[in-house]
Amino acid sequence: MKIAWLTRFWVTLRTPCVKYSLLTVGSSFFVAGIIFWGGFNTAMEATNTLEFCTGCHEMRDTVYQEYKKTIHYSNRTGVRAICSDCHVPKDWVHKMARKIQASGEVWGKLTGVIDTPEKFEAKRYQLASRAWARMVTTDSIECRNCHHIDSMAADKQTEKAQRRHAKGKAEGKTCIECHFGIAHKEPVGADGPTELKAKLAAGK
Amino acid sequence: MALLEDSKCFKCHSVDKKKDGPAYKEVAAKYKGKPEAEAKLTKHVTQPSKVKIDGVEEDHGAVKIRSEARIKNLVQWILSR
Repeated sequence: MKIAWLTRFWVTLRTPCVKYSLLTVGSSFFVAGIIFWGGFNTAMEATNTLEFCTGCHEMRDTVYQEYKKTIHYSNRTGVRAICSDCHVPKDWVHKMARKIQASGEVWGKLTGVIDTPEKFEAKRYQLASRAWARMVTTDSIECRNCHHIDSMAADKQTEKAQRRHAKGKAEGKTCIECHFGIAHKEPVGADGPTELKAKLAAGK
Repeated sequence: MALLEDSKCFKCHSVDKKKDGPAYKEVAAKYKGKPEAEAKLTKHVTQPSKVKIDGVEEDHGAVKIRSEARIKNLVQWILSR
């Protein structure tokens, strides 16, 4: 019965349209495509807002409170980097990959793996090391969404910063190797981003 | 922790990971069992001094407050890592 219904549906799909012109069918698909694509992107953008990210208490009561005290939240020029600016790449391919990866967090929410501050603290290093591993793999693409080493005016930096940046560039370091624990509390754990990068390169 | 953050100590130091300055765990291990530890560290965090990083001498900053209680708390926190 089910197979007969499927066969009829398949035959209908393969039958040339005689009632509508090619222009009507083509235009309909074009408009439907725009609506679908617009809706998809709007939904994607909705999951990139600060309100969405801090909508659950797991983020709002922990990392969000720490981030509010940092320069990425409040600064003299009023430019704010929200969660997605540092945790979601801007370009489409990397963004989609990150969104698919992040869907696993929904399962974490449903099972309550970090639903108390204590549970969050217990997982902090694991969560941070995942973010670090991702960032050393993408050459800190999330930082480079806004910061470009070649666009930096070295003469406007302190001497210390100039030396550090020159050294980092010469050693092939990526942003997160030095700039970690700047928006959230640094977790205590075995490896920092540099050690994770070495392990990933060695295939461990 | 808040005082360390406010004083930008984490730019060069980490609790247990490698940065340009020694990790606080290394500092705690270095001073373990030494009676002069608290006094030495208090001087180091309150008075500007010079440190060598990659063979270059640099200024080591000092905490931005004068509250003895908070400085004592900070020093003890480092030594307890």
